[in-house]
Amino acid sequence: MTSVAATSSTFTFSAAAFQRLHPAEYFRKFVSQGVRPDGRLLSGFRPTTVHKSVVSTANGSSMVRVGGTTVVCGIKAEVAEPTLEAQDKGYIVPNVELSPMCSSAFKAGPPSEQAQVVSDAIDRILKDSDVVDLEQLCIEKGRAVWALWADVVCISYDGNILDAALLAVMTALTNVRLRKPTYDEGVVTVSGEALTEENSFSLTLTRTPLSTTFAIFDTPNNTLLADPNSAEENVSLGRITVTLDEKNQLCGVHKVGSGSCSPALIKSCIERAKERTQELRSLLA
Amino acid sequence: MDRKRVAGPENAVAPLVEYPKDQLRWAPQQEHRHSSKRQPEDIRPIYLKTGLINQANGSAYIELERTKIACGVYGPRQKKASQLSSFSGKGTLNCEFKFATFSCQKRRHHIRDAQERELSQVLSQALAPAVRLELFPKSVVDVYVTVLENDGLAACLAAAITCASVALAHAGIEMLDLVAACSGSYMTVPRNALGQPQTDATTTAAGASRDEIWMDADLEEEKHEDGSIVLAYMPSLNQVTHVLQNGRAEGAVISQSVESCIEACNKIYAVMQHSLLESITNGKTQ
Amino acid sequence: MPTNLISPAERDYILKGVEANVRADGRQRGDYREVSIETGIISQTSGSARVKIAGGTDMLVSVRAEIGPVLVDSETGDGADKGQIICSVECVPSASQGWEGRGADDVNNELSQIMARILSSGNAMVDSTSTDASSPSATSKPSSTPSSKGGAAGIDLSKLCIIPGRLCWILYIDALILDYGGNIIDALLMGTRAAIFDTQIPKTQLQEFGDGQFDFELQDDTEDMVTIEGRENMPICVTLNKIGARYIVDASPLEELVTEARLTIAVNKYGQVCGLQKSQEGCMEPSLLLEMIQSGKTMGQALIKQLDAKIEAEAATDLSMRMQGKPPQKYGFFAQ
Repeated sequence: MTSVAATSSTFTFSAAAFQRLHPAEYFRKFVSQGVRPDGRLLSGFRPTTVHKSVVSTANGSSMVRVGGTTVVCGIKAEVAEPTLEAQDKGYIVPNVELSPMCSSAFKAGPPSEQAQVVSDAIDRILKDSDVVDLEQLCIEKGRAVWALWADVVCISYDGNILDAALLAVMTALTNVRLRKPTYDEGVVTVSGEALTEENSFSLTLTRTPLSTTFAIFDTPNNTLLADPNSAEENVSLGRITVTLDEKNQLCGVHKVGSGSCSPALIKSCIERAKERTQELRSLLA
Repeated sequence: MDRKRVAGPENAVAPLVEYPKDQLRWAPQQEHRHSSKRQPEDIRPIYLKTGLINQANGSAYIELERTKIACGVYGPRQKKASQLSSFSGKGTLNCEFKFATFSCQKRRHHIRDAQERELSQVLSQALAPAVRLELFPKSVVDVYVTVLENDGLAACLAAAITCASVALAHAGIEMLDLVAACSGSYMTVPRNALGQPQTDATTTAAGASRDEIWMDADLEEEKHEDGSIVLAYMPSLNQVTHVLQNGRAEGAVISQSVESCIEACNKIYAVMQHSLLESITNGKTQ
Repeated sequence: MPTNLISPAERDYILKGVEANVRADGRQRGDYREVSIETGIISQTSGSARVKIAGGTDMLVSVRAEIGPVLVDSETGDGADKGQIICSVECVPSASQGWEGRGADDVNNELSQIMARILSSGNAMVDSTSTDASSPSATSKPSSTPSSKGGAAGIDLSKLCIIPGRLCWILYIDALILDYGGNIIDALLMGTRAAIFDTQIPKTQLQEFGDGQFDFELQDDTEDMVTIEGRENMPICVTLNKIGARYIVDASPLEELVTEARLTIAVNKYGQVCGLQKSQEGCMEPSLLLEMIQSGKTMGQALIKQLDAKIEAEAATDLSMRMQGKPPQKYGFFAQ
């Protein structure tokens, strides 16, 4: 409050007003003390919960809460023709919907830039890290394959959507049960009887990459804030997302926003992400 | 072609479902609803909670067994320039109703279809009589409803109205009363059908069946209905804010269904009041 | 018309008039304006009708019968032996201020949906358990609004099926609203009924090749056409506008602006209610709602009788003209 004190020593205002007027300055005060406004330490993560099979109309579903961020992922299976290049491979199509319901930051209409970035990041992780062997989704080579539409709906937005959405997609993928199809002259039929071990199958995941996101806050040597909420995202320079599989192999490092960071900073991100993803994996089991 | 989403295969379709001959689907039977514990007048247990969306001015979540709906309310906030085409002394209630792509038996699209647009309009017509829009001219209150799981379309619309009305109250928007809504389905229940589903009921002689009104029908029941009614009602003011009926029915059945819906709305009203009181005692209202 | 405005004085005048049972144009609360209907005026369609209400409302309804694939529900397998009805309503943007720009989309969509819902609601004479109206899996549909696969408002959809599981007749009902003078929905349903009565489709003959393969032959004899079965069971609707504590039928544009709540009641000739929908931002007491439904029903039944008499009379005149070898006399598009 130095600038204010300089003009008038008697003029003061409440913490809430200070937060609205100078969000970054307000935040800096906390960070300099090694804590964050919501009471977390700089390296603290918000409580995370995972629920499976929450939507019975979907073939696989999950709900993930990371603090105030709540997402629901539902996977619907449909039948489609395979591409000419990969005749025995199915499709997994992830899309993240950031609707105007979950935050005033989003507008109605086509997906915002942020939603596109998140959908794209998940799509890349699924494809490049070879998460699911898509041959499992083949029904009849060259004719019919399963297309899994993995749609993530954000119910409540409070930052760090990528971690929550990826966790939701991975959980929903392990939750998918597909009825064994029969193919006959261009028509794919599944049985309508109750799901059993015999008439359906689950997907085998090669690996389950999970991500950990840190916000870079502008201090002389760049402070890292683990699992940023939406206020923290707004005052930070950018974000680093580290994606690791269960063997702690790196599946991706993703940096968005302005500001630069040293290789040492990225290294420390990876180290901390290892611990975090281990924690998340215990939720998945 | 949608370039802003991850593209999937074109012309994907749902597989055909084949039911084994010996395993018949559920059909309305004497004294048996789809969920056998329910009587015709029983509605499903309601779970209603406010404040799950912390960025919204008000929010609510409703669950009636498998039906799951979330609602967020923003405003009153300034109208956008495009909405300000003409002056109006009243505020606008803008409702957007969306089914999540995975919420129905058949996959839905990301883009709002004709049905969703109509349901948005129904929602706003059902809520508008309760909201004191004259208090905020030039402003708009946005109500966003997302259906996560749909277990009966009429019941889904009713639950959405109930949920949105609680979310409006949670947002502290002045209202004359809460709007409770309930659905009822007209069923022809075969009398002599003990476990015999009436899939080809052309043989059912008149008089061998009886008409019943099943409140809050689920998806399986809805597939066998002759018609349905959704009634939105303000219990304290004794005013009907919306009625939407489809399918044919005799006048007497309609009167009876209106009365049954009002009765059910009174029960739902108690649940709504309870959840709002709870949100205050938890100190979470804004 | 949300953007249309009304002055407080006009509003008050209408309110008091409705209360005193004298409306601005001299009608009583339950009086309709003069409605004129002419059928068979668009030669390229299977059936058509033009409806005019004396106060200005003017519309064209056309029915086009096409052969297309059946719409089968993948979950229940329903619809394999049924034809389809697809409704679309379009308002001419210049006819009313409220129909300009995006407003028109909402109005078009609302009217199309109402029409589809009324036409798909409960086949009056077919056994009810086979009417499978509005199952949500069938209602998740593209922007065109096929009425759900159940019995369509008396029209016997199974008679529209040509080859079960493959081909059927699809009736496209397109309405073009040319001018707005209030009470669009009632006129729309009257026009639809008249157009369906006017519709004739060619006979089809099924041929079996033995190995489960079917084909069909279209009989192109224009004298040997069939009418739509179950057409007399189609509902029409009566829209009641609640103004003050009273309600009126067939509201004029100004009266529609004063309307607090509007109730559309669809009714068939047996007096069965085939659809109810409230619109506008008002509300009403349950007792008034029931009273409105009751009077809507009575009015609707009387209206159907009159309408049918007129349609029959016109058909009979056309027929007698044809018998005499003269072309039927049509007033045509610009008839006043």
